Amino acid sequence: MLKYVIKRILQLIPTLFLVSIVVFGMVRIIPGEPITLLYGISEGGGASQEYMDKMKEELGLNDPLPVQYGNWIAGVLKGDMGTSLLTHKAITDELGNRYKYTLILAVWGTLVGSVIGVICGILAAAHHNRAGDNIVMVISMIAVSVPSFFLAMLLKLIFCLNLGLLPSMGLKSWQHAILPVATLGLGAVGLIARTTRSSMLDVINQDYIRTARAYGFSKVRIVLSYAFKNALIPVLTAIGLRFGSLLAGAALVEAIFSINGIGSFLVNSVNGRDYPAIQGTVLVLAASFVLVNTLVDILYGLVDPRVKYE
Amino acid sequence: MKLKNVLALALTVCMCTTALAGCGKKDNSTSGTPGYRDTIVIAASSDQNYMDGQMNNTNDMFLRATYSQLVRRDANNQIVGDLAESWTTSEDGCTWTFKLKQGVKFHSGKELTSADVKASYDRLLDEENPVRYTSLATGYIKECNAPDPYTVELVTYTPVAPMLANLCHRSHLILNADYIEQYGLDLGLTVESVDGTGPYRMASWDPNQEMILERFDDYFNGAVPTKTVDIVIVPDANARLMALQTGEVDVGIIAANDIDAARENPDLQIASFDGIGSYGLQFNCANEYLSDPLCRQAVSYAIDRQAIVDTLLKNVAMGVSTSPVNPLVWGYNDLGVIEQDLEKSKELLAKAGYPNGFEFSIMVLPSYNKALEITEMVVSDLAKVGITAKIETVDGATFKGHMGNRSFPGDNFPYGMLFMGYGAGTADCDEGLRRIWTTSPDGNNNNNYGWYSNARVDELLEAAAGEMDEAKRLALYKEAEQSLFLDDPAAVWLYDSYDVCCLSSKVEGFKQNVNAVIFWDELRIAE
Repeated sequence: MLKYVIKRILQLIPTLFLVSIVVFGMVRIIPGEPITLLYGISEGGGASQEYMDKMKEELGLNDPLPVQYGNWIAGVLKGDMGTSLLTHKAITDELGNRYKYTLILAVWGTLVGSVIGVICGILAAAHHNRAGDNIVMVISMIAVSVPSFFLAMLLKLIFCLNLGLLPSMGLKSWQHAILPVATLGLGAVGLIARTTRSSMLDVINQDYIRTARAYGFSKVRIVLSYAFKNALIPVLTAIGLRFGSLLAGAALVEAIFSINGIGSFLVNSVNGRDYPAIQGTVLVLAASFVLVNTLVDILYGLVDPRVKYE
Repeated sequence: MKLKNVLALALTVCMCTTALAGCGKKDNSTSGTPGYRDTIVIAASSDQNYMDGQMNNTNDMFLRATYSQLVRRDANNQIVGDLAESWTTSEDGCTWTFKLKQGVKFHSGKELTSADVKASYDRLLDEENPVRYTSLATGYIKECNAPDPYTVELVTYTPVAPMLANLCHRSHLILNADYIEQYGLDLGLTVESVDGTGPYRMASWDPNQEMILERFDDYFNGAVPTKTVDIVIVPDANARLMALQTGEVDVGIIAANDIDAARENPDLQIASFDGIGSYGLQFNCANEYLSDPLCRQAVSYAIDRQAIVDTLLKNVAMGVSTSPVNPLVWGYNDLGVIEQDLEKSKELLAKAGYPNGFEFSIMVLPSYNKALEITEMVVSDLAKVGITAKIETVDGATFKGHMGNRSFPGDNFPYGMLFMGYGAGTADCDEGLRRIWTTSPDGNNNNNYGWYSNARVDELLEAAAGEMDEAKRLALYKEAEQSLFLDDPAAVWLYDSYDVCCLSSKVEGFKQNVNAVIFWDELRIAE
C-alpha cells in the first residue's frame, strides 16, 4: 500500500514536468507580448522603446527559451513562482489569496453535488423503470445540459432580484456562498446521479443481490450495504474528476457572482499575457487536479478491498 | 472503515475552516448624520494595480480619494488649486511657483510641506526610476525646488502651455516623503504603504475583490459627509446592474443597453457627465490606398455619422463629432458635422484613380462600446460608393500588440482602418492631438498608431505646446484640427461620449469631472 502511494506520487513528477513545458511553450506561442501590453499603450502615452527593451532585458524575456524555462523551473522548485507582471506581486501570494475562495466553492460545490447526486442515483436505481427513476433521470439530464452561467443567472434572478433573499455578489458570508455553491453543485448532481444509477444497476442485477433478496433482507439493507458499496468506484471517479475541475476555478460562475477566484485570475493573466502568472497558475491547477485523482485512486482500495495495489 | 471516518472528519474540518476564512461582517450601522447612511457602496469593473499615482497604469478611479495634488480639475472642468493656494509663472514661462496651503495633514498625522512635494517630483523625474516612463511629467520638467516649507518651484526646459492641465494627471499626486524612502517601489501595493492627504484613508484592501475607505476627519478641505466608502470589484456589467437593482450596490457603471431600463426603475437614477472621450475609425496611412488623402476623404464623406449616433448610441453620445477632439478638451474648435455626401465621395474616388473603389479590412476590438455594430454600419455605407471593407475582430492583447508594433511603415499591420477611442487624459489638445498625431524624427511615434504624417500639423502642434498666449494657441489648434478632420483626414471621428453612471435613487450629490474622477464633498446616501 505505502509502496503504491509512493509510486503514484513519483508518477506525478513526469506529468507535472510535461505540463510545465507545454504551458511554458503555449504562452509564448500566442500573439502579443507582456511588456508592450503593459507599457506600450497607456493614457499618458506609451513608454519609449528604449524603456521597454530595458524591461524585457531585466525580466529575462530576451534570453533563449531554454534559459528562461530553466530559470523559471529553478524558481518553482524553490517555491518561488516569480512576480506577476500585471500586479507586481508574488504569484504565490496572488494564488494564495484567491485559492481560499476557489476552495470554498470547490469543496462545498462537490459536497452538495455528491450528496444529492448519490441519493438521487440510488433512488433511481432502486425504483428502476418506475416513475421515481424517470423523474430523477429527467432532472439529472437537465442538470447536466444546462450551462452553469445560465443556471447562475437564473438563480440570481429568482433569489436575489425577485425574492430578495440572498446577496448576489462577493463571498463574504455563508449566505453569499449559497447561490454559487448551488450552481456548481447542481451541475455536478446530474453527472453523479447518472453515474451512481448506472453503476448501481450493474450491481443490482448480480447473483449475490438475488441471493440476498432470497434470504429476505430488507430492501434498504440490500441497496445500501450490499449494492451501494460495490457500486461506489465509478461514483468516486466521477466525484474526483468534478472536484479536480472545480479546483481549477469556475471562471464563468466566479464572474457572474463577482468572486475573485483562481478562474478569473487566469482569465486576466491570459488577457494581459502575464507569462509568469499563467505558468504558475496552470501548474498549480494541474498539480491539484492530478493530486485529487491520485487520492481518488488510493481511496478505491479503502472502499473496495478487491482492488489490489501492486 | 476507521480510516474513512478519519478522512471524513478531516475533510469536514478543512471545509469549515475555509468557509470561515471567507467570513466577514458588513457594517451597515447609521450612527452619523441622521437620515443618511454611513456607508456608500460603489461597484468598479476592475481594481487598480497600485494605490500610487506614479506607478498606477490600470485605472485611477479612487486614487484621488486618498491623495491630493498641487492643482486639480473640478466638476466644472476648471483647474483649481488643491494643495496649492496660489501660483505664478515667471517672465520666461519656465518657472512655476506654487504656494502650498498650510496645516495640510497626511493620514499618518504628519504635516505636508514642500519637502514631500519635492520628494514626489524627484521620484517622478529620476531617470533610474521606472515610473518616469509611464507618466505625463517626464521630459519637460527639469527640476523641482523647495525654497521654503510652503513654496514649491517647478522648472521646465521650455515654456509648457498645458502645464497646469498636465499637473492634474494622476502621476502628480503627492506622496509622503518618508513613505517614498521606506517603501520604494512597493509604495501603493499594500494598505500600510499608502499615506495621502485626501478625504479618505485606506482601511482595508483585498485586491480585485474589495477596498474599504474610511473618512479622514482632518482633511484640509473639511471632512466629507459619508463615513465609509466600500468599493467592490464587479467585473461583469450584468452583475453590476443586478447588484444595483437589489440594492447591494449604490453606484456603478452599467452597459449602454441597460440604461433605458434603469431609467424606468424607480429605485435607480442615471447620471450622465460630459466626458472627454471621442470614438472613431482611424486610418492606416501606410495602406496602399489610404495613403492617398483623397481616398481617406472619400471614406470620410461616405459615412452617415448622424444615423449611427441615432440608431446605436442614444444614451452614450453627447453628439456627432465636430472636431478631432471632444468639445470639453481645451483647444477644441467646432468644425461642424461632416455630412454624408455619396456623390462627393465618388468624385474623390474617381479623382484618386479608383472609380470602382478598393478593398481593405477594419480591425475591431469588440469591447469598445458597440464597436462591432458601428463598424457594420460604416461598412454598409462604404459599400454604397463601391468601397469593400471587411471587419476583423481581435482580442485585447492582439489589439494592443499591433499598437506596440511601431516599425514604419506598418508592414505587419494588415488593416486599412481600426476602431479607436480617443481620450485626452489631461483635457488639453496637447495630450489630445500632439501625442497622437505628430511624427517623431524616426517616424515611429509610439502613439501614432496609423502612421499619420503631415509636416504642417507637426509644426502647428509643436508650436501650440509652447505658446503661452491662449488666443494664439487656440488658432494654431484650429488650423491643425482642420487638417486632421477634413483636409488630410487622420481618422473618421464618429461621436463624443458621455460618462454614464447608474446610481441608487437615494444617492445625493454625486459629481464627476471630465476624467470621471468622483468628488466626495457632497456625496451621501439617504437611508
